[in-house]
Amino acid sequence: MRSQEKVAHLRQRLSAIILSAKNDAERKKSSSQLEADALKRQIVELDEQWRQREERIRRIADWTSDREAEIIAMAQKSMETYFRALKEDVGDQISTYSGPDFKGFVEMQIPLMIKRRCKMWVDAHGDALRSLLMRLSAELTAALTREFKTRIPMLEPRFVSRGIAVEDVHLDSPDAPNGRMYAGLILGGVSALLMLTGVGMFMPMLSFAGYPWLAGRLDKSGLEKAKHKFMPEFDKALYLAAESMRDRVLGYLVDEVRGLQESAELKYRQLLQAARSEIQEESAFRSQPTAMVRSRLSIIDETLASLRKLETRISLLSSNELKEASV
Amino acid sequence: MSDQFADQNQIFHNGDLSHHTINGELISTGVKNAFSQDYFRSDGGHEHAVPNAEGGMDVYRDGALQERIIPHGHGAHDVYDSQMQLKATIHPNMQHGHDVLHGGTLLESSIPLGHGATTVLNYSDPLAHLSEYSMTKLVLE
Repeated sequence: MRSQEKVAHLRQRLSAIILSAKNDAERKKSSSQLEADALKRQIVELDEQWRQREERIRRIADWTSDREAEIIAMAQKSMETYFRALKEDVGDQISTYSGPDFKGFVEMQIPLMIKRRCKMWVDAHGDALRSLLMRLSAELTAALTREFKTRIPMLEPRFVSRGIAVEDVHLDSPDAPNGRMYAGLILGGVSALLMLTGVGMFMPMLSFAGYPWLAGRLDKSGLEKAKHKFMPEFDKALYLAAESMRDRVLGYLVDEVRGLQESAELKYRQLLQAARSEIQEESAFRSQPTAMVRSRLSIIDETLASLRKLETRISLLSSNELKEASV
Repeated sequence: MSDQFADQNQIFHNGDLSHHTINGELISTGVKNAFSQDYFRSDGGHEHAVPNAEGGMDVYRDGALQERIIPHGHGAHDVYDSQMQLKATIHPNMQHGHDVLHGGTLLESSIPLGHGATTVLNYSDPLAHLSEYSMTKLVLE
């Protein structure tokens, strides 16, 4: 499954590179073929777009910030519900406990139980969070595509471009933060990343060791008294643990959303700048002799033909050939 | 029209008048009086809210007691029906909105968006119902 994702992603990346080159060549060709009036109109339109660029960028920021609030609210509500149920379940287990080793139950089993349940939330909701980030990315890409009437490769959330495979990462590795060791693939997805951000590792801090009233063998009334004393401690510790998990998960989501917003804003500036330079160059080039203009058109046609051939070749490459090509 | 996943609530104020809309549809018009508030619903109903002795509000619908809202500290309120059966508890939440709970189950969460607008999430675990979530389109032009 992961291998298929890897191949699909490689194919997508190669196609995106070809697509970007083809877009450049096609844009050059279409501006070379513009009539003088159309060229003037386009210059006016682009100048207007250029003047409004900060307003459009603010629109991207406002829209993304509204979606960020929605995504955060959904994740937060999901976690609150989960921790509420967790608190009730573990609370019931504490109040019904009647075994001989309450100390062991409190110090060992409860922290493990909570750690497992936290991991379960991440496993069960990782795909939903990934899907939300991908939808955000798709919508930003679609808006840019509509604005510039050109096809652009999908903006990548940071977790895709980092492409962390959880089993390949050693947290103490000096290479870990710079991303060089990552293959550029969606391997572990959000679940793996959430685990890497420490969501799955904070639970050992939830410790109930060292309460003197837990020491020694407890008779029936001693056990009830110990439970009574333990419950507020448990509530407090679970609250802190939930807060810590909430901060990490939400912090991670905010980081991803803002990364996408920055990519979209940068892409907007790049596309606008490219279109503007293109049309300005064309305007200047029109003063050159006709033979030079024709010669440039034929070079663009040749480039486009080569890119089309390359595109067909990539679609026919087998999985193994693709992997070799990527190396 | 209310949505299963989330609703956009908005309250517009104009002097003592207020208009409450859900997803753009007018639900009620409120009039603030000296000690009470009247709400004229778009379905023809009339609600009247008056302060009660417990420091909360009693809500009458078409003259009959409908709800009693009673504060119980830390910003939380209990909501009872006319038979004093607990319907839900309202707690302030981390987003400066409120959560509505019943018997430990989270019924809805409101998240203020500013300018009188609030999103109300209707599922206790919205991530489990993501297929119903529709992302607003970004329009740059």
